[in-house]
Amino acid sequence: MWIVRIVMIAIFLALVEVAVRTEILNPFFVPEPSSVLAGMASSVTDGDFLGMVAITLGAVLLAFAIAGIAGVLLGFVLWRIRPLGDAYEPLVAALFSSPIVLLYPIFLVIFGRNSAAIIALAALFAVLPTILFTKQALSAVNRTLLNVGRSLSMSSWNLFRHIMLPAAAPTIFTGLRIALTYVLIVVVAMEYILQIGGLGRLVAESALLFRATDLYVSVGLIVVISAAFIWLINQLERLAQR
Amino acid sequence: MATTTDAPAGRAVSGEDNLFTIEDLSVTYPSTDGASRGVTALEHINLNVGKGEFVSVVGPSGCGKSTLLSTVSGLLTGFDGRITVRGDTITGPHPNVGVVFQEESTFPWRNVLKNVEFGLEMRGLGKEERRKRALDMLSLVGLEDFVRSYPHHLSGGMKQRVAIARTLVMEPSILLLDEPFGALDEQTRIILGEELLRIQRALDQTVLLITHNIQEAILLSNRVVVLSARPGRMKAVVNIDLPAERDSTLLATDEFAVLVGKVWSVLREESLKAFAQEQKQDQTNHEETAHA
Repeated sequence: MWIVRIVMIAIFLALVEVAVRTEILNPFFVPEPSSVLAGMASSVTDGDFLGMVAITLGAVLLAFAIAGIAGVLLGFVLWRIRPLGDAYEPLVAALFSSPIVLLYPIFLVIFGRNSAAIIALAALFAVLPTILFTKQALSAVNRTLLNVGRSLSMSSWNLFRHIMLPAAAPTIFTGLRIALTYVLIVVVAMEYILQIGGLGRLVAESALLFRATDLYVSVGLIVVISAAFIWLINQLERLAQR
Repeated sequence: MATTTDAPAGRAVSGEDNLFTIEDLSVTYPSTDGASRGVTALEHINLNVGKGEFVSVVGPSGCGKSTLLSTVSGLLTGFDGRITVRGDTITGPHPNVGVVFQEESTFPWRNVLKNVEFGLEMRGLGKEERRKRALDMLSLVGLEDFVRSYPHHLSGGMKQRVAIARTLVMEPSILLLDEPFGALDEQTRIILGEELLRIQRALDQTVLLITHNIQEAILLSNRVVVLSARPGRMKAVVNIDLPAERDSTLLATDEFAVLVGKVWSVLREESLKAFAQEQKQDQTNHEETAHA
């Protein structure tokens, strides 16, 4: 129920609003939700703001697309060619749990201090869970389901498209959701650290100048972008399972 | 065949006495370590199944029952002998052969109707035609109220009925069932057995059932084939001369008990052999580990 969800969130925001107005919460640190929402609303018509949203959105979209496509393909290859899988899966898993973000100085040297460096770093980080989850999803497909297809004399392509893929989809898409999280974190964090690009830089600036409302507006917009991508991923998953 | 408890089937079958035949089937698995001698799973299996006949295969564990099913369904190739359906030699999966697996095999991402439509869809049948056929089959198996449900909302017995409907909708000449009720509780198993019998009669469906449950085999079948301990050979064929119209109330009758006794006397001997084989194998494994 959408209504119930929205009401639940509205109640929480209303409580914060009251807490800030009665100064239970310090307005210096926490702005009124109403002003943040108003800020988000007016940002839609503010060219500067929109430009920054576009930069962040573009970086996230590009990095996620690269990580998603490359990750699913590489995961497929690691599953299909066993020796490769045996050799590289543990390595990918090890990389996945290491702080790759800290490689950013190298990326700056390679790509320069620009969006390309941010996108490359985010894609590199996010490709890892996508590879791992895709490989594991395909390996874990129930043999009995495949035998149903084989007993129907299905072609390899149909077996893949109509049994392997939908059976593996839930796990692959879990990987993609994790990938999205990484892309968002890396893109915004790099924008913040490097002071280039969109919303991450805005967060940094607002924090520096103690503009609490702008800070929360930026964070709010990042949340909106995240929600939009999650929606997109859910739609893709439904498509894979048709 | 070492012993034949009864004369070959004398039942009246309509026309096609040899709808499905197995001629001198032997299956040897190549040994895993590359040594010359492989493991023989089945040896000299001969079986004729007529149209509308229900034949069960029972045997001790590890006797090659599942190998028999994989071979007959065309999923396992590389055997000696010949298997035919309506005169066609089986060399791989065949449209005249429908299989229902022991393990859960419904597609969780498809609802009941879409599951049953699956095979027809893969064969390129039009949407309306396949929907109609799937709905007809679903009402035959008694799932007409669950058409839009997804498998995770169904009980184990209902899921198996979906799997059976999905296979039957393809109108196979012969239906192969591999312990289809193996994972179910006893009551559900008996009730579903009765359901299966009703469906089988309604379609005049030829069925080959693999099971380890003697009661189930006798209750459902015209004939019960007893396989020996490994390598699986045909140890006995028991004709089940129970009335064609039957249900589980027969379980309590004397004639049923006599049939159970007949099958079990053969199966007991083989099960003891299989048991001894297993222990010997365990011991060998143990010694090998000890030496290593």
